[in-house]
Amino acid sequence: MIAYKPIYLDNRDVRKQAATALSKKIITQEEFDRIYTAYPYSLYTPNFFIRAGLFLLTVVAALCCLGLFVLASAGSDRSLGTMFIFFGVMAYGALELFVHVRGICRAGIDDALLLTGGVMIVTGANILSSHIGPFLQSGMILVLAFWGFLRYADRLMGVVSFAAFLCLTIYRLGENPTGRALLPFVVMAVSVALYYLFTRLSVLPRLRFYRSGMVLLRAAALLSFYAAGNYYVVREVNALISQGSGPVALGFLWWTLTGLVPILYIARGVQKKDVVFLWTGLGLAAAAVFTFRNYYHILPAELAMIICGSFLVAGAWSLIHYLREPKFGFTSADLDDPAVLEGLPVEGLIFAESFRSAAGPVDKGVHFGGGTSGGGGAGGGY
Amino acid sequence: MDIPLFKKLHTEGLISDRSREQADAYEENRLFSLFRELRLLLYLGVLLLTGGMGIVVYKNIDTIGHQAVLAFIALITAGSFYYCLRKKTAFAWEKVEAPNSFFDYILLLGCLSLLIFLGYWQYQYDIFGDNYGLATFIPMVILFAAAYCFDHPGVLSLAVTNLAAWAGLSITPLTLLKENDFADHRLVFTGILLGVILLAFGRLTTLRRIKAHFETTYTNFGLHLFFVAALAGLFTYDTIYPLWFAGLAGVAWYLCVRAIRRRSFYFVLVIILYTYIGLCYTVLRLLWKGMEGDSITLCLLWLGLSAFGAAVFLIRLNRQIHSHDSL
Repeated sequence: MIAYKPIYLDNRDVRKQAATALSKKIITQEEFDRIYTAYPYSLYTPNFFIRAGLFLLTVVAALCCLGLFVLASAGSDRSLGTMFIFFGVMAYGALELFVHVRGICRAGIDDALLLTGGVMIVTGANILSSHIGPFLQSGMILVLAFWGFLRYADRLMGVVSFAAFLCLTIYRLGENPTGRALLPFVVMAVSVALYYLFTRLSVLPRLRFYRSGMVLLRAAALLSFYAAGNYYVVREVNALISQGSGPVALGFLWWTLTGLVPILYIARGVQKKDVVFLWTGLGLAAAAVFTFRNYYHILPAELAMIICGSFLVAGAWSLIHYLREPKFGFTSADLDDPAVLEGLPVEGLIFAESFRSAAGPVDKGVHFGGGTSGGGGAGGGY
Repeated sequence: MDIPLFKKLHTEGLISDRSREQADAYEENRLFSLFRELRLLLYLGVLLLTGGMGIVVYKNIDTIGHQAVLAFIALITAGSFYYCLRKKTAFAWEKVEAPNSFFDYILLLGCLSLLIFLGYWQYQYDIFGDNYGLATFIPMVILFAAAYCFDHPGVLSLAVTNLAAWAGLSITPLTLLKENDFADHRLVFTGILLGVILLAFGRLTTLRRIKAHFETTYTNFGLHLFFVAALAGLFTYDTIYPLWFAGLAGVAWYLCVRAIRRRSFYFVLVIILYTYIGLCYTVLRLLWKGMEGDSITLCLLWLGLSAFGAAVFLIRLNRQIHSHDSL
């Protein structure tokens, strides 16, 4: 299914792990060099900056090509639409060619071709038929994006296909009144089901190349669960569907979900030491505050800012101080900085170790805590 | 650490017993770092607090009075600088580590409040009068001194921005294109001159080892300023634009060679993109002049092919740099 040779993707992972281990002084430079020679990687995966540059240049080249095609076409809607679709298919073909012949992987060129290919096909279909409808539209995007995710393990495509799937559900339900009434609950149920599915799938060894994509998908499922229960979203979507504004039924339930879900996410993140829960929860806590302030102004803005700000500063400052010596397996030190790790007191480590059993087992299923930014472009030296 | 992987590497004889044990120990004692989360919350808190206080002052300026506000800002500035002077480590021409993790933030607070203090003073009481040069020159000198004395690249960026303001340019990322009228020929030459000076100073910094790690800051500002000004020159001087392009390409070539030697992916990319824009402009103008009817096809063809060519060139250079260094 996946376009790249699995052995290279595995070797890239080994090299990444070795690089992390080297930076933390777990292995020596000689061992690192040995691992590098033993696990070759011949795909072209450049540095982030080069990737961005190649992405830009490929988009420019593709758009110019498209311009030439359009100039050559007869000008009727039919020929123009066909031209777009043909061009989209060509982009996919070029992508396959680049991957197989030139061995590129996350090099900017492939990202750009995958994106232009999909956008062109969808645009072409819209030009050909002016009444596709949102349902069919989402279906088309879902198929294209899901293909991109499966074949190239592209994370953006994974998130796009998730969004398209949600849209598909929403449009389907929006067609009848019962569906409309049940919409938030169905979206929540779908999000929960998908969250567990993604979590399960991401530990399967067979799907190891999709792990970094699954992290994003899990975050997306958490977000959609929250959005389905957020008071503002429920009210606005309801107004949009039923053409009438005003307070919605079950207001108490939505307000509870708006306030409670972020807290639960953060608590879960701390309990499981799960970065996905923690960051989603932090982001959504801000969303909850904004939702509340959108409807109730119990304090003038500046006073609210000062009070919140003081609490945040005091809380964060004292936690940073408190966790200077690791406690319960948590630390406020930057573990990605090798110099800091060297200075960590050994007593602290032992202390953390002795508290580990009390704090509950650490989830070792999926490794997010390592902190290597998921493959946004490994070094160019491969 | 992926423990099964390290086990496998160990059985393959790639890592020693000791390394494997260390990997095991690391994983067992693995800590969960809240470094970024706590910093983010602290940052947000400071932002909310200062924003809220700013609004309160703004709303009550009639009762508080400008002198009181000025005195308060002066107090913050003096306090921050006093703290930094007391805590600072001994001066050296090499990179000096900050004494603690809050030192850099306090210094930044002091420098920013100093700028606010001087700006406020000038706005309300006109202390420098119409002497605008002096109003930017004094903070610039203080900022440069602070950057070198306390070894802070962020303050150096502030200082360089002030230097440009003194020269009549606005060079923060968002305002570089928006607030400068590059149709003004004097501004084009000021930009080029200042860009070259900054680049030269960056070079000097490494050659003489005067705080060599400041080089990135100088080169970054110099590079963008030079290329934006040179491209503006290329666009505005209608008659001699091939000459402008030749000059731009020459400097770009030199800088690119230097960037490759420094193994800086970021600088290579920036140089190539700016040069590509210049090249496209020059060729398109030539094409447009040469033909009348079919020139749009030709232009598109040229743009497409040149973008492809630039991509290939970039890949070549990348392979040449061949290292893990970022930036």
